[in-house]
Amino acid sequence: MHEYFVTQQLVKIAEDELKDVSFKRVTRIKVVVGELSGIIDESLKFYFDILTKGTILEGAELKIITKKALLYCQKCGEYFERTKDFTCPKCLSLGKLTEHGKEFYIESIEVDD
Amino acid sequence: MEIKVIKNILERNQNAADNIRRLADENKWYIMNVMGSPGAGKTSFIKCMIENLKDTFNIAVIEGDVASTIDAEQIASYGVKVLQINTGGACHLVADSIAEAIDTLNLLPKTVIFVENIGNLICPSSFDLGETLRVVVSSAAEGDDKPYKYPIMFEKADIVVLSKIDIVDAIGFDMQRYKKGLEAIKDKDLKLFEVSFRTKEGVEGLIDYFYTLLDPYFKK
Repeated sequence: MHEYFVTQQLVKIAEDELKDVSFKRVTRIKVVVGELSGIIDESLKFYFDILTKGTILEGAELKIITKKALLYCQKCGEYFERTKDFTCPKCLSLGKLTEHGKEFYIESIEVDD
Repeated sequence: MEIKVIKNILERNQNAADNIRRLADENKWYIMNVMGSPGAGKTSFIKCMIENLKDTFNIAVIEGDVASTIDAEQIASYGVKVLQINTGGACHLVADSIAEAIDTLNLLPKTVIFVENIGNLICPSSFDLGETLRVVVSSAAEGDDKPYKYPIMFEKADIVVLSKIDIVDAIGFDMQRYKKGLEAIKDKDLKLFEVSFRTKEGVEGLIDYFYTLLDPYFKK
């Protein structure tokens, strides 16, 4: 549900970035979304289409790059994908959450010039 | 042509939150962001804190709800400053609305401000409100799997209040499983309080803890 608010921010940032750039049209925005970021891809796309109407971003493709959540095993020293109860698949010790999976940022904007 | 950006989308909210934190520091406001599911016991937690802290500290409450003023009316009966924010449909509070609420409440320096966030375990965790302390109220009634299902909410908590412990046996709540989940997320620095606001079990320890936090904060 909070995708409405964050999509507004996303549009604002993109507009700011493009202020001093000359281009014909915006073709694509790449956004990186971690699976623990709480952002739902479908909602983001839904609001993106609505909120970009009448802006320089209208018609641009919203490309979402999903990042998997990775946990860190303090015993093995390895990163592993989230398991049901956070145990390391190798040694069964308890893994820790890491920054992998919490990403939420605009990576790049592509324009036709 | 590709323009590299790499910009945090929540930056605007972060700026507003940083501003609140600066104001809180200047005015000695202690802001608690109280989060948790609907029905977890957030309002009971705040009411219990008011009852036990109001003779010692100035208290104000900012109530966030999608709709209604039910909670604000209950809180107002304690004679503390309260402001209701209805978000309309939004699932979390944002720093801008907290800044506005603080401005409207015209608060004294040295005030404990409770912010009751919208009830859910996902959205509020992503939005810094400039709080001094993040409290997650999590009830036994919701089940022992919550830390595994909503890890970010618990990771960002400074303290977790597990409420409704009077029904733990009746519903087969697995305390060990719950704590193991928290341990995975929080290391050893986790502060977990097991309480029942109905039977008052564990409440004394929680109140003592807040005195140890607030006394030195306001005396500094």
